[in-house]
Amino acid sequence: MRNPVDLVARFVDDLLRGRRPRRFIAAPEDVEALGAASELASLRPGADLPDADFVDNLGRQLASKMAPPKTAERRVVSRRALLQSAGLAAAAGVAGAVIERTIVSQPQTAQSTLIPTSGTWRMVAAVADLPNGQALRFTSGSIEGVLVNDGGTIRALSAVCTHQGCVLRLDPAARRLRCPCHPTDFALNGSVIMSHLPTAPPTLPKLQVRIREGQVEVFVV
Amino acid sequence: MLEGEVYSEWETIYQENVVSVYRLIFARVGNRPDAEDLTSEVFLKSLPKLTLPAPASQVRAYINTVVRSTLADHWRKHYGSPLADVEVDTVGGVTRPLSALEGSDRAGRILNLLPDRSRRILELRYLRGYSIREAAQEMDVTPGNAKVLQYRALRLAAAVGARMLS
Repeated sequence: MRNPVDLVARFVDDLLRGRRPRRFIAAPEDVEALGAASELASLRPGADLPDADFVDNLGRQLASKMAPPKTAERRVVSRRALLQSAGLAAAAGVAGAVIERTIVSQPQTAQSTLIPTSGTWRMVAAVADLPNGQALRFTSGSIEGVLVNDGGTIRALSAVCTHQGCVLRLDPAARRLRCPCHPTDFALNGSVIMSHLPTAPPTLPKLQVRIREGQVEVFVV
Repeated sequence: MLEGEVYSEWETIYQENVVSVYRLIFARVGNRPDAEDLTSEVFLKSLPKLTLPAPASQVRAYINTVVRSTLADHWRKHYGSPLADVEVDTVGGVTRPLSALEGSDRAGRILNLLPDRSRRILELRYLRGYSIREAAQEMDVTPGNAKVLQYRALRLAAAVGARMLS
């Protein structure tokens, strides 16, 4: 068996290459050294911030676990039955609540990324103008979008409703994008969180985003 | 979400805490693949068990417990014993999102409290990305000695980190 000095060195090599370290049974005092080696990996700026795609994918995985499709389908059917048997006017109030719950509990649709064929990187805001937890609407050429600072990760989304193309209104207090045309709200990750439409519209597309010299740039036309 | 507020949707819990949870975990595993797996495990384990609405402080305390037990299991399973149960920070105590600098701040403070040669070897490795061979050359020692220096430096860093929390 290799000595602890070599095993710890191999562990650090793996961390510095950004890969999962090879496992081995260590003496308790060496486990503490491995813990320190892990903690120091945060020294590299931004190393401990999650990848935006990972956050989105886990959100989708959770959506399917928290609201299995079967339940959503059953609720849609019961709403139709309700409308047919009780009449529209009488059912309107109840149906509204049922629809909203139905849409909220639907699994998220896959999120696409809007990449214009002849796009270019355009500066749309300064990082300093987008504090943690805040969102900011922007217009650049033909693109209406919103920037979101989610715990240090900045992402950009299209701000055009995926139902019929109305430009969405940012409601910063509720952390939602609201459609002015038909009552539908999107979360700041693009997923539909409330809608009175019979079928929830698709998730808002992401826009490519990057940070350059303190400026937020998005890939737009 | 401010103290005294209530979580009524799992989506909000996830959105407001995923970055903090990931950073807490990253600080204890130091690599992206493990941090992603364990962060997923924490949310997939904890969210279905919550009865909502619930006070935000209780939700965060529960998530923090799951983070700690998940990390303890990880270290026990892969390296034979859990890390000392030190709290770098807790999701439960965080009422605002962490800034991007806090994780590296603590690591930087640990580094600054180390003796010169220990700090030097770790700076070369972590901040400059030097290999053991390159670090050895820079410090004018053999690669074998550089490994021993690194090993001792990490043992010292662990002790310094534990003292900073006590």
